[in-house]
Order: sequence, then C-alpha cells, then structure tokens
Amino acid sequence: MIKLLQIEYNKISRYWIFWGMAIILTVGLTTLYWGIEPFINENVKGPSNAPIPIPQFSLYEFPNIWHNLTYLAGMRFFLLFPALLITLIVTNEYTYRTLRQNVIDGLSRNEIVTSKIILVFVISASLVVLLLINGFLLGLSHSKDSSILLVFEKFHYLGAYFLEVFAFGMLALLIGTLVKKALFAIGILLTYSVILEPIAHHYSPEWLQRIFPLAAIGRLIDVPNSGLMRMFGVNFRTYIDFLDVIIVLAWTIIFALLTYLIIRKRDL
Amino acid sequence: MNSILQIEGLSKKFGKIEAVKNLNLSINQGEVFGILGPNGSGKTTTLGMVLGVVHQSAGTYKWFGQEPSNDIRKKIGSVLETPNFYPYLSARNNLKLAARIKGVDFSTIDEVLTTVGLFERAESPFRTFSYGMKQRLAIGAALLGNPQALILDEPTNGLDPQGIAEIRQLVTKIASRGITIILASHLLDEVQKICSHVAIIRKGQLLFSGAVDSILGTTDSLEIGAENMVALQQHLLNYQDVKEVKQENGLLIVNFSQKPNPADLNQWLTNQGIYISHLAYRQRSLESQFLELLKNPSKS
Repeated sequence: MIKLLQIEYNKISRYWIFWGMAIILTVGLTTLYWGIEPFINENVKGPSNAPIPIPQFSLYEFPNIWHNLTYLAGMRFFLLFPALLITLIVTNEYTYRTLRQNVIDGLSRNEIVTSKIILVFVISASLVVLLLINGFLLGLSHSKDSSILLVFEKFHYLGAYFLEVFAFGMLALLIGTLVKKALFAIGILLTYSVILEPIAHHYSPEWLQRIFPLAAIGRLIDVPNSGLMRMFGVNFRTYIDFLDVIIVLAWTIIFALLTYLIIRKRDL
Repeated sequence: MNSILQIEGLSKKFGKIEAVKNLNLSINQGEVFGILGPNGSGKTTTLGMVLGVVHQSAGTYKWFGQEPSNDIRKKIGSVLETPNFYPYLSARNNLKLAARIKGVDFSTIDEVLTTVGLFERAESPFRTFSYGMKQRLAIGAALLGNPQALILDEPTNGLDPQGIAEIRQLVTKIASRGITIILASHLLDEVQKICSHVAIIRKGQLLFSGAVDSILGTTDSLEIGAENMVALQQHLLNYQDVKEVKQENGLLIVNFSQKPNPADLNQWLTNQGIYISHLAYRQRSLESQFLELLKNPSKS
C-alpha cells in the first residue's frame, strides 16, 4: 500500500498539470466558501430598491455550515474538476505507455488499478480536508455557539462529500481506463455527465431515476434547508438518505471492479 | 547450465491472425540470445507474453525454472519496443520510479546513469532527450538492481550510426558482466556481431535455434589465391582431403572433407613452388543462411 502510494506520488510530484489543477481547486473552492454568504446577501437585497425582509441567517453557523459547504462543493461543476484530472492522469499512462512499462518492471495488474484507486482516494480526502479547514475557520468566526457537540453535529456531511468526489473519481478512472485516449475520455465523461445522464434521467420512471450514478451522487446532499428556502415555502431533505449512500457505494464498487476486470483481461 | 527462459508451445492469436505459433525456445545463463526475424514476425509479441503484458492464447513459459510471477519480472530488465518514461520527469526521477517498482535501492541509480553515459543529464526531463539518449535511459532502467536477464527489443531501431555503435558497445559491455541478454532484432548484422545464440522466426514460427557459430562459424573451406591460378588449381587437387576446387571472384574456393590446417597447406604449396597471395577460412554469412532458411523452412 505504502509502496503504491509512493509510486503514485513519484509520478505526480513533478506533473505541473496536477499541481496547477490543485491550485485552481484550492483557490476556487476557498473563494467559493468565503464568498458565498456575502454574495447571496448582496444579491437578495440588490436587484430591487425595496429590500426583501430576509430573516437573520448565516451559512457559516455550526452545525449547518457542514451541510451548506458540502452542498456547494459537491455540485457537479466542481466534482468535474478532480474527475477530469483523474481521467488525464490515467490516460497519460497509456499515452506514455508507462502502464505497460510498470507491469514489465514488476507491478501486478491489480497493483496498477489499486495504485490509481489510492490516488482517487487521496485526491478526495484532500478536498475534504480543504473544506474542513475552511469550515472550521468560517464556523468559529461566525458562530455564536461553538460547543463541541454543535460543531460536530452534522459532520457526516463531510463523509457524504468524500463519497461524492470519490465515486465521481472512480467513474473517471473507469472511463479513462476503458478509452485510453485523453481527449476522447474527457469528451465521454463530459458528455455523459452534462448531457446524456441528465436527459436519460429526465425521461426515466421515478424508481430508475434514483439509480442513475450521477443522479444518486447529486441526491446524497440535498439543497440546504436554510431560512431563506423556508421563506419561499420549499422544504428540502435535512438528512442523508441511507438508500442513496448504498446506491453510490454500489456504483463505486462496480466502477472499481470493471476497472480491475479491464486491466486484467487486456493486452497492455 | 542454468535455464534462464524456457518457452513451451507459446501461441498468440489476434482475432484470426496467429502472431506466434507453437513456439519452443530455451535460453540458458550467460548466452547473448538473438531473436531474429523480419518485421512483424512475432518477436515483440513473444517478448510481450514472457513479460506479462500480452496474454498468451496457449503454451507456457518459465523464468529461472519458476512459474511466471510479478516478482520474477523484477529480476529481469526489459526494453520492449520503445523507451517508455514519464516525459515531464527527469532521468533520475524516472529511474527512481522504476527502482521503486522493482524494489531496488536508489543507490544504484548513479552507477546505472554512468554506465549508459547519462550522468550529466540526470536532472533533465526525459522529453528533452534525443532518441538515442532515450534508448540509453531505457537500457539504464533495465539495468537497475543488477538483473539476471536483460531483454532488448530492437535496441538500435531508429538510431543514427553513432547511436547504433554506442548501443552495441554497451550491450557487449553488459554481456561481459555475465548477464544473459535476449535481443530481438530484424538486423542480421546486429545479431551476427553481438549474439552467441540465435533463434530465427518467421510468421510466428521458429525456423532455427542454436549457437551462432553452428550456423555461421568457420566452414571446412579455404579461399586461396596465387599468381599462377592454373598451377595452383592443379596442385590443390593432389592435396590430401580436398573434395572440390571452385573458382570464385578470382580466388579458389577449396572444400575439404575435414577441417584443413592452413599452415600445413601453405608449407606444402611452397614446397611445390607455389607462393600464395591470399589464404583465409571461408566465413559463412548469417545472411546467406538466413535467406536459405526463409526460403526453405523445412531444413531446420
């Protein structure tokens, strides 16, 4: 395990696209986390001169901050960035024919896949850590009550966010492995997630809608039920549905197994 | 002699095309084993199978007398077709990666870089290398951890004459350390110069396998020239063990029924009053043998 992690680290340590993407995501998400409340407040008041009476609320108060931030970070647009990066890293191994060389040098085919799954895991965990750090900073500076119980009350949303990034990353790993060509793989990933699945989802019966992988990922964390939303009379789910977790986990395992299967059967 | 690689009945089908047909090979320790065949004859496919990147359709192979495994591949250094490295990583970092996979200590990296003459360029990214340098780095990576066997697939392909000379020198140097080398090539001349043993493959089938000397070697023929060719020919017919005398390119080709001693012959001719201007063993060229085998595969 440690060895595979070291190998993956060696591969990306001088890969500027990886670090470029890491910086874009860090800066982008941090700006999102810190800017979202001022942005919403300004825009709700902004358009008309007669300000709507907004109930006092903060996105950054414990424990709801975890729900609010994970919902934002888990939007498909933001999930696509790490997924595209993973696709690129996987297809690179084919472009450079290094995957073949890795096997020749003595890695097993299973280790090849496992090392990439570790990479997806580390990328997902890093994004959770980024959210965690920002969440604590924002939460501690905006909450009146920072008692331990309150701070950790909705911590499980972090787990759901991790699952979202990880599952999406595993889909990217599968597509990259299947298609081998970077541009082609990225095209398929984008077309599927932005066009194909949403359309198929729209025309499917309700029971099937729940099963679509990206739809299930999207359902994991529902729109935060803030005071603002309640004002408009909408009520969103304030809990994580266990069935969605099961569906996403099942897809993640299917993506992983298919990737193992392809690499085992294929002539490299 | 210790067996390095034993191949039995190895076959590979790509759809309808049979790239390798029921191949049997035995490679022993210390040999520089050439796999010779025209392009597309199944050399790379064969090596791909014994290196675990191509699944065989039938047959088995053993490395060092053991069943194939991932750990066994770590003891073999291989360059298959092209040098495969991460273009954005330096030579040193690429070697570190290979060393990590093989479970080899980083301390051998400098030594390997020196062997292949890339020590000065160790920190340059792989993508800045010329093709010859890339090829040498690949050989360097293959040398990490003192492998027991080295596989080189067309190591001089695409190189300029100087690059070719460098690689051949390098291979000879490595072979002198006692490392078994398996070298696939479509160049007869290369195999003839470097290898001790050769297998000749055509359309995935083995035509010949054995020592290069046995296929090339010195023959039981001498080339002789003198000023008076007519007298020379007449006298030679009286010499012991002479089977046949032919004229070729202004020289006489003399076939003997057993290996002749050129010194005795020279002395004898001098006694007959004939002073020779040319005397040499006739070398069989691999090329003529190769072409003969390709024409007439049943001979093997």
